Amino acid sequence: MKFVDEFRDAELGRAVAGEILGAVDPARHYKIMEVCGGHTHSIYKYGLDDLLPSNVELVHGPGCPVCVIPMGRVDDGIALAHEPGVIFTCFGDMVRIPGSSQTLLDAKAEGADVRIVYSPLDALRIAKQNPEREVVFFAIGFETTAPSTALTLRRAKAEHVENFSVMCSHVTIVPPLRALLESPDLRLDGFIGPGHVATVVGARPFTFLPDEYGKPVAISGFEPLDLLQSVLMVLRQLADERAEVENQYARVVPWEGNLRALEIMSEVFALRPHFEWRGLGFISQSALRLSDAYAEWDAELRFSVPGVRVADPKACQCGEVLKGVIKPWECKVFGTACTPERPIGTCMVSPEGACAAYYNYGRFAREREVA
Amino acid sequence: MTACVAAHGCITCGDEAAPMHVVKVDAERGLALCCDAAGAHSSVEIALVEPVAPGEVLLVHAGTALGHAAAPSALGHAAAPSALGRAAASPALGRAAALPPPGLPPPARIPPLPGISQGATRETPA
Repeated sequence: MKFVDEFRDAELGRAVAGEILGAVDPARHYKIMEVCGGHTHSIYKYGLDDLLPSNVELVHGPGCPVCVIPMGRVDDGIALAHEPGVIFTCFGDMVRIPGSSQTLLDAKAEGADVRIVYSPLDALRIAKQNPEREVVFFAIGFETTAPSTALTLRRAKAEHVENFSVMCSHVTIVPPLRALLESPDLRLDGFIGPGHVATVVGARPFTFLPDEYGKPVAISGFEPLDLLQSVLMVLRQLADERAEVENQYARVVPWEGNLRALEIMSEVFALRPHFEWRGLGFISQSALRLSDAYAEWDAELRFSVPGVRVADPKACQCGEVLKGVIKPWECKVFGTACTPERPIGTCMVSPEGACAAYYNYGRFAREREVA
Repeated sequence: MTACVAAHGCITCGDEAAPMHVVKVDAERGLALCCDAAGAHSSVEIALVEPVAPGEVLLVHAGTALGHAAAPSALGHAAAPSALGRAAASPALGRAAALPPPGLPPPARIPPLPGISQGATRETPA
């Protein structure tokens, strides 16, 4: 398919890998964070890590929408799913995320009506088909997914669908990146920027990385050549002692983003004062709630939600993995007590999670040689 | 479109967006019938990318089109890595001409946005 096949050309990949080799200083160790979980998945799916010099280390960032949802929030969703008469809808990976005592899949086994949807619009359709039932949609995701939820809510309002509501757990990408950069235990040289978030918000919001922190950025696509080229762009900025936002994914990412999407998000959502991120703690103004104009469709106002903060299991080190402080295989339960079949932490649930990517593509016993 | 297959995970949870060809447009309902790389058809919300015409490639996430995939000829290639540049010039790898152009328009010309994302960029976490 156009825009896909040409970015998987092995010969070109090897050529770019050769250019990367020529762009690095052998005496220097490079740490480049790929922000998005989709990038992590692609890197290990295509074995791109093996094409890089040993002194170029890819650090996995917090951009996995499922991984960053805290356990207490999952418990809130499970509590709503158990409400009498409720049809609880969510995306596929969410049903397997462990809460403090069970998953949504367990709740379904106990009789709760939990349904997997691909799009929030599917949840709205279920609401229209079941006017006697309350339909709740568990909205997760970064700015990539938020426009779809916003459009759905606008449709619900226009069509007066009153038995539909949204438990909004959408998050934004910039605040956690700031939090990471302020963290003393992580030194990064540059960033592979999240291409699909940038499709919505544009490349411009990432200028704070070079402007305030002096870190080069390449907004990247998700195919193998996209990622290799982005690594090369960051390395060249470092070699030239430049720090700027470069847009490798310009075939879909406009500098200013999708203005219609931003407009509708502004109408439907408002920033939460603070939100808890798994592993990162509370980050101010890092998540979205429904705006006052859409309060009628806010599941947290319509139902009683426990809202209890729950600590992660002690054995799980998802927090350190999400911050890029440790590699997945350095976690004590990785590949033993915690596997994709029986996950303890969120990073092992979603294929975009670094732990699942390592596990599924055979990196579970491998230690990279670093300078 | 494959949505939530256990072996591959949920593409919506994974923040993935898939390029899809537009087959047919229903402008009145704000929907388009689109076809993905595997040949699967699905109905896509196009409110954020209208106008849309059959044959175009859209980037689709969670049933919503987020953007158009731009024709490479409409973009510049000045800063492309040399290996990619060579390949793009090769008749045998003609399709590589679709490789993305690095480089951005000057940011100074873009006015600040009142939207959510703009607000988020200014916030400092706790």
